[in-house]
Amino acid sequence: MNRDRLRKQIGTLLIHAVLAAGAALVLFPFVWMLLGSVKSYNEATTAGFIPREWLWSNYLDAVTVMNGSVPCQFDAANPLAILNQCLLLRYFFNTVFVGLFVVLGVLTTSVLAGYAFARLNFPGRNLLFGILLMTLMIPFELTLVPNFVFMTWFSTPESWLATTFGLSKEGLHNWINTYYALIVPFTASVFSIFLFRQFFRGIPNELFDAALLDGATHSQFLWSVVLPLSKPALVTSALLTFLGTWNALMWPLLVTNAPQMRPIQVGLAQFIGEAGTQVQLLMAGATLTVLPIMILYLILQRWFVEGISSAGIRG
Amino acid sequence: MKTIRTFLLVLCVGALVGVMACAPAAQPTAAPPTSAPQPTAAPPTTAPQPTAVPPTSAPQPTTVPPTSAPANTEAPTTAPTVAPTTAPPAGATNTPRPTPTPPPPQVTAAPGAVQIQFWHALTGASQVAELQKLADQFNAANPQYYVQPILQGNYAETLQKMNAAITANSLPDMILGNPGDLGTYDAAGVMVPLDDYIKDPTDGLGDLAAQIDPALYFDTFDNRTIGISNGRSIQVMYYNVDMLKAAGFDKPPATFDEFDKVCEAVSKPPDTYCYALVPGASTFANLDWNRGGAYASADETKAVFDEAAGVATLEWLKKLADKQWSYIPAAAFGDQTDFGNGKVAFTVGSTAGLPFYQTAVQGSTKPFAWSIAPLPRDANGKNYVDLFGPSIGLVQSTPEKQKGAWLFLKFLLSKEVEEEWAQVTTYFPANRSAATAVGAMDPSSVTNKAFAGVIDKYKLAVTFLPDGKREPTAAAWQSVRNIVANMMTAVFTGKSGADFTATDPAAAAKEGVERVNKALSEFGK
Repeated sequence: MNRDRLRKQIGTLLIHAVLAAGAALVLFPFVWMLLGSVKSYNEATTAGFIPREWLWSNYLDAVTVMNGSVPCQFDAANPLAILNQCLLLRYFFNTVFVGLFVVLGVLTTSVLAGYAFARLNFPGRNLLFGILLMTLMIPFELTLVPNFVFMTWFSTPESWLATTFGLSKEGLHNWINTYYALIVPFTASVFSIFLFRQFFRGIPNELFDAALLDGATHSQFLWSVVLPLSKPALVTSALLTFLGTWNALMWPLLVTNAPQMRPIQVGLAQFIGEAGTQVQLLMAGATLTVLPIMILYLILQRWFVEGISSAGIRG
Repeated sequence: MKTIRTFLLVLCVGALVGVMACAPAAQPTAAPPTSAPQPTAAPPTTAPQPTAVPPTSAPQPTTVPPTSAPANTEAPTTAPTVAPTTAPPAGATNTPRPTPTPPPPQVTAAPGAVQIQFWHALTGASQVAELQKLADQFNAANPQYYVQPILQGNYAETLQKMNAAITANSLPDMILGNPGDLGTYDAAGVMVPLDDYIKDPTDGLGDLAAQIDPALYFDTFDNRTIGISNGRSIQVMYYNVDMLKAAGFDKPPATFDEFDKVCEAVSKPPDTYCYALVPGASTFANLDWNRGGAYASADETKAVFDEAAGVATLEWLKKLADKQWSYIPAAAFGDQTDFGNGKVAFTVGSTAGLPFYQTAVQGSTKPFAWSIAPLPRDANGKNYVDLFGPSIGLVQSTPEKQKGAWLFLKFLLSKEVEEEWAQVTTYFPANRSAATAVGAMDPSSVTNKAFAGVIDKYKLAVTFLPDGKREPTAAAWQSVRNIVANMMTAVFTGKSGADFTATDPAAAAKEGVERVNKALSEFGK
């Protein structure tokens, strides 16, 4: 009996040791980033794991550097003005704002398209889906210039309305340097369509038949039955899309000109000069930008874990 | 479903608040494009506009001779004998901080001001801030114009954006980039030749023209000046003075033979290496020149580094690898890091990196004395230092915009502005009187902390400038730099790859020239 108990305890210990090692492996880059953010330049680029001197001032320096060497100032009389005065906050706002709308757009288009490809029968369905999948193989870089040209062709809705109804004499404005250019081109994702199509195909036909018998339409079935069952796919698609937006650098650089329109990655890129990188400030800037996301994750942790584990998705 | 509905509701409310709080920044351009770029305007003929702002610092003494001389005409230069700085105290605080820059005056555009977009690739935060400060100064003094410096990423990203902008006809009014990149834009027909502006009796360079060496600071394509640089840097050899002294060497190696002797003495792999090699076209061109090679034909249409000097350079690199005197750092700027850590005796890099080397060494657990020198040369050869750096050009727009852009460029070349710019960037000013003034600065009078820390090395580098030489500036050469770097890597590592096949020095030089010449001939087609 004692031997079994001992064996069980050793097994548990081993499992925990493996899990702890895995957790340490995953945590290591974060710890490295946190420690690097309070080191001197030399320490951050060379030897030593624990900082000799903890330079918390790096955070203030990072914010100031990102702000064109001007300190951020909060005005209690006009609190929203800090979004324009402090570029770090502006970059952060832009990234979150654009990310949320891109996620909303991708989920909307992907759910509808995925459902159509999975459940509706129409001529050329498989051919169309095949063509759609083929576009996955076109490198993003190849589409940069054509997409940029499109952005200069399209007019913003407000300038179009103002011009059409004679409310403004400023004329049409194109999408360059607007949120439209940052959001609209990414509101459809072939990968997400594929993901949802595959997921929806896994939903039993019996459910659909039962809904039909109850007189449900496709949209009712989608909204009331399919979507509640698709939380894992929704979470996966939303996470991947949001991360893609979070990490975007080239496209935002291409279609924006004002710092007030740019995302966080552009701000972080300012620590990388032509002759060297201010690694310690880069780490401090990265920590500051990751922190709100981590807090958000901690708040929503249960929901995320539930969604991902029920889909059988592993990181 | 309740969760999803709540999420959608919160998202919509957030969006509304966001849109109200943060309307898109101004300056969208008109859509759709309705006209081709304007033809180049005639030189300005209107009354002179005020371009200069009051000098921000007292005139500097001009006791040293001009620092820039015509390249390639001097006798061989010996290695510098200026004493290197001593090691900083071991416990020196090392907190690289951003240079304190006073807040810009927040100049806003005057009603009716001509808006001028200036795209640049200077990603360093201090450079971004300084450029904005200078634009603010210019805008305050010239309210009829409003210059907006806009960072467009690094040089490669700026090139990509500019190419897209050319296709979409959504162009800026001024552009900063590598000289070759300006040549690319010129080939696309969007650049403004500056010659008429330079010579204009009213708004031309005037006395400034005599202060700038056109061979080094002007970029000429098809006999037209397309770009002007307000500051360049040079390729130098960084060396660990203490490590050399410990091995019995009191001065940096001037020749390749001397370099080899130092390497033999200091290399103790895997702890210490002689040279951290970062393969690159600038390093190769400089080494080739210092062996008497030409690197490119005089008309810049062909590469010629398959001649004896080029092959000897590659053989030397192979020797460094075979004897384990050298290695290629894995990470970007890894050579700086290893140098600061005392792992390597020599690196080769731009003088723009001086502040980074300073902070790397100062914060080391064992700070040491270090200095810079020109790259080694043949025993009977001549030293050259590769002079490179960005240039600024005007993009075709309206005559008013072009004139405003030109006046801003002229403003950037003025003595006071150049002095300030040199301290922020450690570039060497195009304006000779500014270069002289910065070269004569007393370290104690320098307010820019980063520059104050390296001013002795900067002054030493100034003495190398008479040996300055430029790589081919034709647009096509920018596109072949990777081939040269791949050639160096293949020979050094002895590994063939898809990018480069030959690993034997002579064969590699031949393949390199063939690949480069093919790319040059196909450029733009």
